[in-house]
Amino acid sequence: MAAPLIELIRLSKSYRRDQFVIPVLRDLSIEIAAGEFVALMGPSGSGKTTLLNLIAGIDRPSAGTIRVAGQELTRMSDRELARFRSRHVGFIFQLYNLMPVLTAYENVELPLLLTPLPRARRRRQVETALDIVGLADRMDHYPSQLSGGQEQRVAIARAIAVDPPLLVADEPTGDLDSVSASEILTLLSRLNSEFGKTIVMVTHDPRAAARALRQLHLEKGVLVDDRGAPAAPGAAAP
Amino acid sequence: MKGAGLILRNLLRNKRRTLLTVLSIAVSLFLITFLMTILTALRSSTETDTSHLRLITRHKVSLTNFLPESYWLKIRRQPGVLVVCPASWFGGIYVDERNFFAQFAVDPRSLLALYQGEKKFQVDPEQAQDWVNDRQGALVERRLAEKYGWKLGDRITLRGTIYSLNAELNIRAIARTGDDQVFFHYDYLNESIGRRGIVGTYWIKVARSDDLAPVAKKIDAAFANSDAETLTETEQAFQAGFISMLGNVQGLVVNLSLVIAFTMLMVAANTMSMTIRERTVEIAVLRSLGFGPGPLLGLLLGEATVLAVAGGVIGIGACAGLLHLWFTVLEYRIPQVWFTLVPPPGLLAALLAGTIGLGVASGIVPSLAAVRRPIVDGLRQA
Repeated sequence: MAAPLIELIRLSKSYRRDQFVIPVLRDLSIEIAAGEFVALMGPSGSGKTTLLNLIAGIDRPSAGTIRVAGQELTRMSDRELARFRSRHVGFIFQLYNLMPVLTAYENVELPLLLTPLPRARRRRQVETALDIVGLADRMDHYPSQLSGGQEQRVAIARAIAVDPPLLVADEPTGDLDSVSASEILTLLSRLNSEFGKTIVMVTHDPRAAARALRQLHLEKGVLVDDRGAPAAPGAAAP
Repeated sequence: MKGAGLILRNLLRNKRRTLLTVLSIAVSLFLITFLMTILTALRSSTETDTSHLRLITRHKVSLTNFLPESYWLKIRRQPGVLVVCPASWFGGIYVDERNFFAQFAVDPRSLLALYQGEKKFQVDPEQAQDWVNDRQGALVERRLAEKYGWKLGDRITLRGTIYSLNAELNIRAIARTGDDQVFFHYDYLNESIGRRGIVGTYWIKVARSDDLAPVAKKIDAAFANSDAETLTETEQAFQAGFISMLGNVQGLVVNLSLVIAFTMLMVAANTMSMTIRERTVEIAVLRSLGFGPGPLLGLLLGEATVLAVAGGVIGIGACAGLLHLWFTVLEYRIPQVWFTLVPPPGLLAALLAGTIGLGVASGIVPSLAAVRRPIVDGLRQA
């Protein structure tokens, strides 16, 4: 097994609503190796998105430890977490969440504005990212001028623009028709296999999950199934 | 694209709201500029090149009480005093009561000596001499001459309201005096009213500004316990006191400006609150991408500041332009007001700088709330 890119150790998360404490994740320990394509599955309220948010460093656990790319997120300040996300994590949302006032090119360029890269270099990276998702010819289009599938591809280009090792996707095909969804999943598979991106994807859709190499099933905040996990070093082959 | 581009794109996404907000700020700042120009004019109308060397002595009880003519010489003898000029407010009417301008009966030689070196007071030496030589001569402000069509040698009549005298004056000098005013001979006035030997005020010039306080003290001490005790103060203090007779105009102007500024702040803050609230998800997405509190605050406060500065440039610029056109180019004078309303560059710069403060103040609360809100809460709004 490759060195884990993500290590979750005895992770718990609960929310407080008025006087009630609602547990969402309970004592969860998972390792995800670099280069894995993992689907997080489970019914609504099982804690999939919460887990994804914790891995991505946009939420904090109530207990436990999160290590991503060798860095312990639980010890980071908000500023450090922001810096971590800008370098190590690419986000893909269900509703794409592109800036409507920016063109495809400018949307993809957004995360690069946080880097010290000169304009010419930024341009190269944006063009490369758009080329990978097959939208090099649409870079001057605004989101409103693109189809849903194209918008999601721009969002994927934005996620890979800074070349992060980890992509997190929250229901990336949830708002798409089956053809567009299939294209997006093919693209994600390619990013995983061809470019070595580690992908953690939340999905309800078994067909989408089938594209992943590993499926984690959560129920009521507990990991109930882990299919396709790479063998630990020294483990016997099945 | 950089931050500035993103700020502009965001501002233009709701053009109507942006335009209305900018216009409301512009109107408010137009009014504030106008009011602050009045305030500045009230405060600075007393400041000239040599005003820091001048004192004014008046009756201690009231400006309407007269001082004896004999004080002229006594004041002149005080150490540090260079020039003393008797100056009595005539308060006459030229043709019609609406034609208001200041009229002073003065000693011509003393007045010319008093204003020597004053850039605002420019008189042709020959005309000055003609004025000195003619007991019924008058020195008139150039703007008044243009307004009423006066020429050298013309004879004008000022109908007396304080004195039982209709002053028949020959225009001997047309000069730049800084204000709309006419000077004529104190001797003419005094003789015409039966040599009563009364003077409204004495205008005094000292050698150095350091002499102002001690000289004023000595003059007042010299006439202490007399029938006509004096109050001597700097020209600026005198004018300020004169202005205060108008009532608390300055206080009114300041309070009005504050009310307008507060309203403007509320309008701008409301716009920024709406703008930021509508973009909760976008802000959460930007934070997900790694935009930290600093860059995000920069973007949001940048929007608020651009809004405020745009309104400021329009409002302040329009007001300054109109006032400049009216008072400088067209040389309009407000009836019965001795100062002009031209905003000084310092005031305009301060107001423009204030718009930056307005922008930051209007955006700081919603911006801080936006960057402090948990990212996941923001994303849930999608």
